[in-house]
Amino acid sequence: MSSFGRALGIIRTGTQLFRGGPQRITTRKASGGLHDELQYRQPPQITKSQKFKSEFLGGLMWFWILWHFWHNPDAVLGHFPWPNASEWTDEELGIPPDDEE
Amino acid sequence: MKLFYACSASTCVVLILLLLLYPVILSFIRSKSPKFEIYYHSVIALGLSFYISMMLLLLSLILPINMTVTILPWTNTDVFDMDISLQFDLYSVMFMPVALYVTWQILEFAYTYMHADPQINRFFKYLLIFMTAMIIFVTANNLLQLFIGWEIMGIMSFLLIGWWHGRADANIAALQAMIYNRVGDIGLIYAMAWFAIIHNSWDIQHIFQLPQNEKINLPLIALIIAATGKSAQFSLHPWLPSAMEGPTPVSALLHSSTMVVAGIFLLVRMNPLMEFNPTILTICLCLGALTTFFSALCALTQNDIKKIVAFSTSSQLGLMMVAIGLNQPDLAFLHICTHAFFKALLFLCSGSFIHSLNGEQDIRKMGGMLYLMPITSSCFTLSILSLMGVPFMTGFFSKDTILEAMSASYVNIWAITLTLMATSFTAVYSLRLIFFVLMGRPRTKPVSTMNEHDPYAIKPLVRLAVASIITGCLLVHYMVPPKMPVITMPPILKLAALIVSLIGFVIALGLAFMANKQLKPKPPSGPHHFSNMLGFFPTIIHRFIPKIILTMAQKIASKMIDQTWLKKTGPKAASNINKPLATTTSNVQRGMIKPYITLFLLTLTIAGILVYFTIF
Repeated sequence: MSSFGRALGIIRTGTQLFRGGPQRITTRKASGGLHDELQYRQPPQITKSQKFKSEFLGGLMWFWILWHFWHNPDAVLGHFPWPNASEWTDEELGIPPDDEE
Repeated sequence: MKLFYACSASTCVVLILLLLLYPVILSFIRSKSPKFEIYYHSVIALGLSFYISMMLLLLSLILPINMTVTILPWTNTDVFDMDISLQFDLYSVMFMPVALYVTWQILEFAYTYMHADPQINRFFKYLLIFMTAMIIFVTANNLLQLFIGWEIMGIMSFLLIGWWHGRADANIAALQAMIYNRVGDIGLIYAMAWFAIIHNSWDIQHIFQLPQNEKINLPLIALIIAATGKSAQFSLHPWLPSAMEGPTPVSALLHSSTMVVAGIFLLVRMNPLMEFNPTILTICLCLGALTTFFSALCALTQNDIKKIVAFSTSSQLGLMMVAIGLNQPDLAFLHICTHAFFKALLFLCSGSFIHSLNGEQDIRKMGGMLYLMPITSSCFTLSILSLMGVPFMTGFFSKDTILEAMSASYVNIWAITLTLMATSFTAVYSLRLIFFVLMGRPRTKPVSTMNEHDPYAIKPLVRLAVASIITGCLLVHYMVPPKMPVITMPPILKLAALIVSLIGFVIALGLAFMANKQLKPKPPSGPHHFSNMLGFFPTIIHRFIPKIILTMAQKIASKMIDQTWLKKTGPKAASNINKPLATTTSNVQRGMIKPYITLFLLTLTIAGILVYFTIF
């Protein structure tokens, strides 16, 4: 049973090689949750996974905006040109000429 | 087919209510629950409820039926019938999944945020009761059911805002929420009484059959007062920023999908009564425009991150009220739905920053969070862009449509100008948030407990972020508005909202960079002071009016009652009347012979005259 426990420990350490970034400094508090240790005058260690997720979210947003802008610009710019009433001719409006009897 | 839909829909709602109430009932049965037991049950209940509500939504998309289902008779008399009945229309069916999804994420986030709280089971129980009340409210088909949901929300908001009741500020904020909401309740009770007396019914479908004339203005104004109290419109708004004293998950829940939107939802629900009533619509429009402008103005100079977000909520609620005033209830409802996602995200991100900075809420003491908490920063930026109405983000689909409808309608220019200025201000305080919180260098305390590794803190943010990107587009595509929205307009009007936002953004950027320079310090200007002190509104209303009332009461008690009873009519008056008589009598009785003889002669003379006139 103890050898099984040791093997689990090795596997756990081995999986850290595949994780993006350095080993996180974590500790399990009596309250039960996962919390980082207090650090004094040191920035938190950002993992590759964190960077990837943040950039993925930003990228998704910009993809969504630009893709829609490309395929559906009318939603922003108007669905069809606003008709200019001054350009309409009398003929189009059905107004007869002045000299008509 | 109708029977199938009615059975399925009512079963779904009853199931949702039972699921939400199960952890609450469990906590009553078990006197001592292990820590977090209610949390686990609550998350499962909310998740299941969300999927059930999605099934109902899909069903209603396949079978677009507006239906009222009566479950049980409540009171049946000769003149007044009332049943427990549920309303299944676009509003209730679409709002339920939105509210449940947002609450689910907030609850999951609260696991991390409220981890150390000793009463965490009770906290989750309160949140669940809050959500249950909202479901009762949105599905209600009679005013009493609606009122029950409305009141439970009011009570729970009091308990949740005052959660940290050891602090005086939290107690004051909870009391403020209670008192301002009671003003709104008076409006709702008045409207209910009016409908009961005049129409003999509280059934909403029956109420819609009332003839639309000037007589109906009174209950409609009462409903507007109810909405003003609940949705923190101008004049009854100060409780909303004060409610930030509660825990951040509570603020997120209150400001996104429950409580504050209930007032607007009430007006959306009762819209058929006011759609041909220009007086009521104009009141809504002006109230909304004033609220959106004033709240955005107050948000400009605040330094507390939660207060800024709270004022932005108030501003967006004003915009929803503007949509009601434009007679576009569907747009108001659409904005309720889209706003729920990005506002919940904004609050949760703010809560995450605050939690990581040991409770620091001042944006001047943040900075550089982009490098310290990248995922939360991405979500924060995303939610702010959605709030600003950046094209194709969730907020754009509702906010821009409301502004377009406003620009294209024949309403007063004052309301349009205020709303466009508020839109510009939204860009200004949004950029201010990004600039001070995310950019620059850290101005935090040297001890840091930043934590982005906890999945319970990150997953809800990511889920809400994805929802804040895509839901607006989905809702617009699947929601068929009964009223035709504006399709096109002159380019300048079409782009007006975008242009004013851009102008605001550019001005804010220039101002923000000025803040980094060593300029000669100046005393704050008048407008800055006005905005920073929230337009002096709380100072005036919370001090001036109670002072007037107390002074008046004091005068009534000490001057009017004391003077009237004690001095003018009571013992003092008797004494005053008797005093001159007694004095005169005692002055005569001084033991001197001359006055006695004079009196004797005087009485003799009078007696002689009387005898003379009697005989002759």
